Amino acid sequence: MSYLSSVLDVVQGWPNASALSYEFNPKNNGNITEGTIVKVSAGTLPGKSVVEPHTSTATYDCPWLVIRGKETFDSVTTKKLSCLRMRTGFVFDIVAPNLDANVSDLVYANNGALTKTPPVQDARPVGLIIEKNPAENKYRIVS
Amino acid sequence: MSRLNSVFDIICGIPPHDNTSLEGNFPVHPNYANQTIGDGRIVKVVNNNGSPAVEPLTSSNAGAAPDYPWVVAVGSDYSDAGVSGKLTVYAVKPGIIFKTAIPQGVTFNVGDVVCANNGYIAKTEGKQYFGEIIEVNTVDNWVIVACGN
Repeated sequence: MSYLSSVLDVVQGWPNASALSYEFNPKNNGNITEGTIVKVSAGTLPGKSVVEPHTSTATYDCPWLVIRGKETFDSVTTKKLSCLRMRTGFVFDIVAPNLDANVSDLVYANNGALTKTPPVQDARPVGLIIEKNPAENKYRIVS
Repeated sequence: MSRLNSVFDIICGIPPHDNTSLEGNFPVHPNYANQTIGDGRIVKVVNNNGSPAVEPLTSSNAGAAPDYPWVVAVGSDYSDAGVSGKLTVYAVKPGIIFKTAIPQGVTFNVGDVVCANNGYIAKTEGKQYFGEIIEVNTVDNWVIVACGN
């Protein structure tokens, strides 16, 4: 990667095996950064699927975690975001000052950000907090 | 594999390269022995007199006991399967991305969530979904499906 102040790290599951990665364009060329949770939708051009910030739903949803966002040199070059399909088995660390959650809390997506409050009743969680570092506002999450 | 005109392809998740998915080798249930269950079909494992076999899956309704779908990677349209008598399949829910032909009479859009209807990907409402469409190519008649829980 090429973003020295990154606050996101995939601890297990990528690139050494278990997560599903794919590259998408950001919708409307939006400024989607690493750690954002996104969903896939059709782009304006055939074969150009795009992603936009996701909010968890109670029905089957398909969240993806951006691991290389628009702030990285790689994405500027390729014009694409690298994303991992969530809920397929990987562990990641993320700095999230606004999350205010604890170990064993389930987490959800709300407009692309992690939250411990379900955005809708019976929302499907995107992960579970398994470690917390309060000094750095860092969380380790399994998804 | 040995079917040169196949449009089916595993993009992520094929073992042992990626280790994401679970592989199985099962015979076709005798009830479906006269049918071709080709690559890209969605199947389920059933009991055949105490031995496992597979047959095309039609997804259960949402809220019912969970389905355990598998996608056929080497089907009875391959000589490999003809020799071994078994299909090679990958469990879908641990996570897999694959490209497959669009079934006749169905139109897909990016973002559609999919289930199975007689083994073919479908978007029937109210069913148990296992993945979403992330790319559509109507010129070459294929879609890419990203699966997971």
